[in-house]
Amino acid sequence: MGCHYDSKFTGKEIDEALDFILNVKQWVQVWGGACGQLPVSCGVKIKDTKINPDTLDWTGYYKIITGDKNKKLTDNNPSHHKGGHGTSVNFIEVKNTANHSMGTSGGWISPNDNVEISSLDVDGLTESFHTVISQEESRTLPEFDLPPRVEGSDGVVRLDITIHEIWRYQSIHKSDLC
Amino acid sequence: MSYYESKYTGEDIDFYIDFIRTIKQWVKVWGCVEAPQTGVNFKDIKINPDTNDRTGFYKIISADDASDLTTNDPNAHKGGVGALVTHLEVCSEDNHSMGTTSGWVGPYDEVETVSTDVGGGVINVSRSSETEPHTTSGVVGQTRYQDLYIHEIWRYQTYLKSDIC
Repeated sequence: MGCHYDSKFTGKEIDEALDFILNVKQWVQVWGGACGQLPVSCGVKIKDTKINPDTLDWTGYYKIITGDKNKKLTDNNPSHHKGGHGTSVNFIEVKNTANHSMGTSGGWISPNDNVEISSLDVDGLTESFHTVISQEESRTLPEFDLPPRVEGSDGVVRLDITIHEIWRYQSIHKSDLC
Repeated sequence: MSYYESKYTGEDIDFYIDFIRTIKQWVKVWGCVEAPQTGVNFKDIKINPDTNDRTGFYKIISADDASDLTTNDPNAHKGGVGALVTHLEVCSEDNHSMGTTSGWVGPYDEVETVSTDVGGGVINVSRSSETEPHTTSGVVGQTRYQDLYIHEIWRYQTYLKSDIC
């Protein structure tokens, strides 16, 4: 039998602290990279990630890592991430998987001096993470090496950006992760 | 001395204490004593104890100028983005890793953007627009760039293994 230690905490307080620890949340990878999926540029179905152990559905707070499809995130060649959006960190709060939940949006100047805007959302019809960039109608299209853009019925030209990794802010003890 | 019958075993408690040491949180890694500056040398930041290099997930607090972020002066940080929080995922120390970008319509009805990146070993937050902004630090084509002042850099990492900044 080991030595006794007279803790300043009572046994009840220690139990309560351990109960609390079970609910501590951190960023947990739930798709791509270490989870085994390869980057895609056609959206990721939210139900391809494991269920959120805290909400018991797929609602939650997500971090999405996007970038060029054929370039590894650890690529050391700086020119590989130039000329476009490069690797980007985006956030989305999914309140309802059937909802058109919106996340962060951003803008940047492309090589042809066009202003491009990206937005992140969950498409209610396909329940997928669907990342698009859109461009103001008055601007000319950039010509650098990206997949063809699609002009929607609203006249805005869009392009899916490749999703590399998806992380969710959740407790990890209740989950077997990805 | 009184005894309390825990619902946890000693083995459980060891397991949870090991787990506590893996919990990550936001830790300030630059700007504890350093004054705000445009561009921060990546090597001036302590090694990430979780990756053994400087890759990781960063939160950057920046502003148009070096004024105290807690100032009550309503004229401070005006004319641009004000104080701004951007995020940066650094996957390789040598990579031109990009972070979050923010866009808005500026005073001249032009779209302005702020982007965060680490290029050439320097973390930089820059604002760009197609019209003349206030103070420019460089001009490329029709686009004007302005470096923002970085006030603080935080990294998402374990806390117990690090001596922080």
